[in-house]
Amino acid sequence: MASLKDTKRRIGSVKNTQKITRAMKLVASAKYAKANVSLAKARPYFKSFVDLVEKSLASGDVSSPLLEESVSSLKKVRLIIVSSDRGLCGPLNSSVMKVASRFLKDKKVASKVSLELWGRRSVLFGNTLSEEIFDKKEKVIERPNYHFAKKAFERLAEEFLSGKLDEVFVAYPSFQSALSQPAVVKPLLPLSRGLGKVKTDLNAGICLFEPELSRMVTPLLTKFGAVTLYQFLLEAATAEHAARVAAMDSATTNANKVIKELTLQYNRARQAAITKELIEITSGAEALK
Amino acid sequence: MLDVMLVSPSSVVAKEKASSVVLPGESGYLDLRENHTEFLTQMTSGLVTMKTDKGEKNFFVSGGYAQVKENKLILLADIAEACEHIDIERAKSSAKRAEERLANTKDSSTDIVRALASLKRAQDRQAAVGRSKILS
Repeated sequence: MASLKDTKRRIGSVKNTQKITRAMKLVASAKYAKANVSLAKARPYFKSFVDLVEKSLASGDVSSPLLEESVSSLKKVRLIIVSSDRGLCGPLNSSVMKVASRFLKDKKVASKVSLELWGRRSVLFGNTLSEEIFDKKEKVIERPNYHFAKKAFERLAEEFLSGKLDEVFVAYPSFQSALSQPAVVKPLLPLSRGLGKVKTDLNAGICLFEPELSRMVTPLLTKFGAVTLYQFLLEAATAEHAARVAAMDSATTNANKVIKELTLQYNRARQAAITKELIEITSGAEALK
Repeated sequence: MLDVMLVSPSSVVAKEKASSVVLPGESGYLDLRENHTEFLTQMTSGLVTMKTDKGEKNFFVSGGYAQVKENKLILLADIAEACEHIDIERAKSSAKRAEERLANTKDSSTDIVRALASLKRAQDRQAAVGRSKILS
């Protein structure tokens, strides 16, 4: 059994750790609140934009190369893996890596996958894989910005249109609530996949366009793609902070439990020592009689 | 009355009921009123003016789309700011910076495009503030 002094030292060290996790929780919850507000503020824009695109596409025969599925037999697939830069956020990153690995396994047949790694954790993960790594970036979801998403999507769209890519997917931690951030793989290109089935319905559509729809559709869709990507990043950022709040909260509670156990152990050992001393004294006195 | 919502990727900038909305369309300023037919247009940068019960409200927008349907007008702008929140000094200094960049860049075309865009934005911001002052 550990000595009294050892136990006391351990209690102290657990208490120190708890102080750190508690502080980290406070910081993470402030960041989470901020990220959550910017996600909530951006939601009306996303919703209206999806609505707008669906209505425009329903208005008649519109086609855009950004919507077309490729027919080639060997698909060139790009997977973007979005993760946080720092750890200590529970199972957030590992679950993203898990869905990414599953995705790569499914795609092994009939396609050639290249990776784009956004976030330090995904860079570490990507280095262990055999797939070709196209690009590595850090600090992507630390402060998600629309300009970055726009640039990235425009580059991807260019590769897609020139036939260098057939499909683009994004693996990221989605944000459902403060308690649940499931990792998902979402399709980005061709854009028709993210939209679901669009039926031509002249009643639901819009009849007047300026400039005419055929000229407007590609810029509209490019922006739509950028907005979609931006939404993914915002969600990932919010999910990261939410996961860190939860992880640090449970670490603080755990530390409490450990402290309680150790204190019990310490008291017991102390009591045993006292009892032992008493016995020694009384038996010593007995012997003198 | 038109139900107007002006949103940008970072926030909902305005939610108003307006009798008329003037906005910078692809081929010039448009005035949208009640019972307008379903309509979608690209916006350029410029001033959006909403006539509401409480008077006129002015906003600077840059790029995006405007869609009207069943008296609901949604303005999806890349950038949207209420005119009273525009920092005119900042717009002036960014215009100056863009002009300097234009004067100094020699061949890189992306730099020129970006500087021109930023110059136009700064000028439009100033113009929007100026116009909103004249109108009110």
